[in-house]
Amino acid sequence: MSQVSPRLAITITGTGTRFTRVLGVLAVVVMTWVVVSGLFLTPQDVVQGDAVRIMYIHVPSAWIAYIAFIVTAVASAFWILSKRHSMGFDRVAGASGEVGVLFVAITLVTGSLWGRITWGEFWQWDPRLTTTAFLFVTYIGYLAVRQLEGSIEQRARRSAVIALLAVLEIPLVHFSVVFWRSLHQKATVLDPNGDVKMDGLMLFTLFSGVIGFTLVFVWLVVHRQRTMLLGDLADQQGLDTAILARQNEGVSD
Amino acid sequence: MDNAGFIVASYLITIGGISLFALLTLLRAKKSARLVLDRDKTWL
Repeated sequence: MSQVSPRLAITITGTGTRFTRVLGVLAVVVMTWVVVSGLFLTPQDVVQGDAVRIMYIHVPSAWIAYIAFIVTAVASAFWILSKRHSMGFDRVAGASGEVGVLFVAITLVTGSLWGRITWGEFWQWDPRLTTTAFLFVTYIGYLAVRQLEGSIEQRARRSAVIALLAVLEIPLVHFSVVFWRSLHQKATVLDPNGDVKMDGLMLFTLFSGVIGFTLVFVWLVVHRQRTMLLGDLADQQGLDTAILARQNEGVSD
Repeated sequence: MDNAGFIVASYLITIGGISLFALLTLLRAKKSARLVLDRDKTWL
C-alpha cells in the first residue's frame, strides 16, 4: 500500500484555521447583536427619528473602510521598503483594498437610503458624498490595476504606488464637512470638543458595530490574502507545467 | 418603525453584501486549494 507524505498531500481545507473559525463566530455574534439592538432595542433619535438606526451600520462601515485603505497603504509601503520585497505585504494590501471597496460600497448605499429618508433624495452632490464616491472609484481603479498583465512583482510595484497616492484622499473625505459647506452632518462621536450627545445604548450599539465590522474585516482579509497566495501558487505551477511541456516537445523533436 | 422599508433594506444590503463576499472568497479558496500542495499552505 502506497503512502503519501502529509507535506505532499493536497487537501481541500481551503484557508480556514482554528483562529479564523473563532474570529468568524465572534463576528457573527457581534453583528447579530448590532442588528437586533440597532433595529429593535435602541430608541428613536430626537431629530432623525428611526433613520438613526442606519447609523449603526453606516458609520462603522465608513470607519473600517478608512482603516482598510490605511492598511493597504502601510502594507504597500512595507513592500516597497523591505529588502526582500515579501509578496505577503502585497497580498495583505490587495486583500485589504478589496474589503475596503466592499465597505465603501456599503457606506454609499446605506448613506443613500438614509439621505432618502432625511433629505428626500437618494443622492446630493455634497462634498462628503462626492469625495466618498471619488474614493470608491479610485480604489476600483486600484483593484483593476492589480488585474493587469505582468509578473506578481510588477503587480506589487504598480499597485503599491497607487495605494500610497490614493490613501491621501482619506483626510479629504473625512474633513470635507469642515472644509466646505455640507449637508452631511459633522462628526458626532469624533467631535474635537469631546462632547458626545448620545444615549448610552445608542453609543454602545454604535461601538459594537465598530467591533463587529473590525472582526469581519480581519476575517475577510485573512481569508482573502490566503486565497491570493493559493492563486499565485496555482498560476506559478501552471506556468512551470507549461514550460516543462514545451521543453519536452523540444526534446522529442 | 417609520420608514421601515429603507431601514431594513440598508441592513439586508449590508449583511447580504458581506455574506456574499465571504461566500465567494471561501469558494475561490476551496477551488484553489485543490491545485496547491499542503506544504505550500503556510497556515496549516
